[in-house]
Amino acid sequence: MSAEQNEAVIRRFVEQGLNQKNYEAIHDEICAPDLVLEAPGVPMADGKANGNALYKMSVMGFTDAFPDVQCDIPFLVAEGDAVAADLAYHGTHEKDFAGVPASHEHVKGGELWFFEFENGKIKTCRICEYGVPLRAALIAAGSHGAHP
Amino acid sequence: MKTSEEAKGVLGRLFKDVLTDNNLDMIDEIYAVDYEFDAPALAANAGPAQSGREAFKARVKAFRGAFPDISYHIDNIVSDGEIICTKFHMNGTHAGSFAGFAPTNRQVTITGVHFTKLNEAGEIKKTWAGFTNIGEVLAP
Repeated sequence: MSAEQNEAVIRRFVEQGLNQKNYEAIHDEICAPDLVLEAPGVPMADGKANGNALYKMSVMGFTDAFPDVQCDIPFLVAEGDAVAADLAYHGTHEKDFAGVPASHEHVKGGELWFFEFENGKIKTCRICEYGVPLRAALIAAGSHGAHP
Repeated sequence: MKTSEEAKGVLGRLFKDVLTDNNLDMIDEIYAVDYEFDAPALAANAGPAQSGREAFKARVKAFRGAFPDISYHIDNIVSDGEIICTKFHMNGTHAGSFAGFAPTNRQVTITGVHFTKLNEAGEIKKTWAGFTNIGEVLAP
């Protein structure tokens, strides 16, 4: 697969999976069964042994907790088997997320995603937050008391 | 603009010469005067300033204070000549306080992703970056 095809997979993941909330329909098509996930809050051993299922759970947990979430990609570089993307998001925190009860606040943030592909599917994914980590932002939002 | 390979070379010097071999003078060579930084303020003793060459030197010193034998390694790197995206890890002995975690004197491997944008002159103009697993590997 070419770098352009890998890039198209990531753009489709963001558009169809995150923005249109239709991730379940494309998960098996875009993720390798033995995907390795490295992400904040995911124990390293679990991300290695059970990355495919955890990836799906993380994405769907995110769109479920932020039902109006919209994401875009300010920067993306695809080269060889790798795609790196800066994913910016904003949405309303309507359900429990990462152990933080719904604050009903609109939050925004950014994450760096580094994907490696094999045969057109995501084989590894490492995610890092920059700026204010989402969980910290939600705790702060919940403590404002603007939405009792 | 630099080629993809030249741009990656700038990051190679950063990770090897500056961050691993502790050559802080090289920061004046490869970083723009108006350098901007967007990442969690992990090392309290790095001071409040996040931007500029001197703030970055303070940050590098603070990391080395927490991990005296720190070394950085590039796992994968891509670039279009302007943006450079690096999947990296750092190894070191956690000998000083870091990101609110008390030292454990354990040898740790911290993983992360680092994005950098070069200016027209090929200097590092902006960095935004984060770590994946510090909560797990630095926990008491």
